[in-house]
Amino acid sequence: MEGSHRMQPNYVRVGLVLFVLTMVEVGVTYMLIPHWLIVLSLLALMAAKAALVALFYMHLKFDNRLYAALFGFPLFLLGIPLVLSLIILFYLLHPTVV
Amino acid sequence: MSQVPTVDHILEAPGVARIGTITPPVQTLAESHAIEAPTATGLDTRKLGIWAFIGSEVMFFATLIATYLVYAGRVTSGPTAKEVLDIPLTAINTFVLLTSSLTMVLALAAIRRGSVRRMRIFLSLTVFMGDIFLLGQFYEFNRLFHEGINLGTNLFSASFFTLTGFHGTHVFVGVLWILLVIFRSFGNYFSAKNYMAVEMVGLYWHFVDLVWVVIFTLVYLI
Repeated sequence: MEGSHRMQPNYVRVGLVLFVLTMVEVGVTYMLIPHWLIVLSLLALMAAKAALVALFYMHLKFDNRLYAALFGFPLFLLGIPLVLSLIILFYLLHPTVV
Repeated sequence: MSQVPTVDHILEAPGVARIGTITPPVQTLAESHAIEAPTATGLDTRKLGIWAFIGSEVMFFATLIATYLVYAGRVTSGPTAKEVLDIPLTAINTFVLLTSSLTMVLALAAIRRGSVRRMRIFLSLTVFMGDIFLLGQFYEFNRLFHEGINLGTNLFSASFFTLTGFHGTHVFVGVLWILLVIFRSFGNYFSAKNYMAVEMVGLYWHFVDLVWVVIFTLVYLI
């Protein structure tokens, strides 16, 4: 079939990294650092965890690029722009409109 | 007196091939399902279909998350996320769901090596952890209801219950789907050549886990 089983990553190691990143995430929320730094750190950790799941557990790193396109286009061209545009619309341009 | 050879005698003689009586090799149910018709892309259409479905789910959850982020920050009365959400409990639930993703991918690795028994064990562990996650969410919802916070309390609660409720429903559907795969595995359905059904439910499960990674950060931690 396809190339996803040509190479098999060390799934347990990926799981351990995910475990550690989650612990770091929770730890960051208790740190006495500026709020914007906490938010940036959490977003970076979240992106790292999501990428690990998608690349290694969902095999996007090894599989056919068409699958990555089917997942990536809705995410990067529609999903994330939608979230950002609504936040910009309701928080920056019209902060009082509910 | 010499015996006159019959047609059967001639056909059973060495070196004589009998046309139309070739017995096909025995094919298991798993092998018969593994045979795929060639596609234009060269890819399995079932896998392509589940990825297209996941693409649509990305949009679905992006809308719910955007709605939550907009509404949760506009609470004028009643509790906010910071006041009522329990981070330690949800962190444990997150560990459980991440571990279930690990057992799910180990189930796929097992069936790729041809071990149906190990696949069944790992899938059962995934179901078990999915159930623990759902119990944790049920406990959290129940605690919030007892504190007087429900779907109609304020904008935060409405968007919070909608987002996490839909995610929980996806986990529930995933658990049912995995149970169906376990049930089918008893019918000699899966093998090292035929594991697409396991891969499909795995992709769905990992996506649900991925969505929780985002929800945990954006809803509970930030």
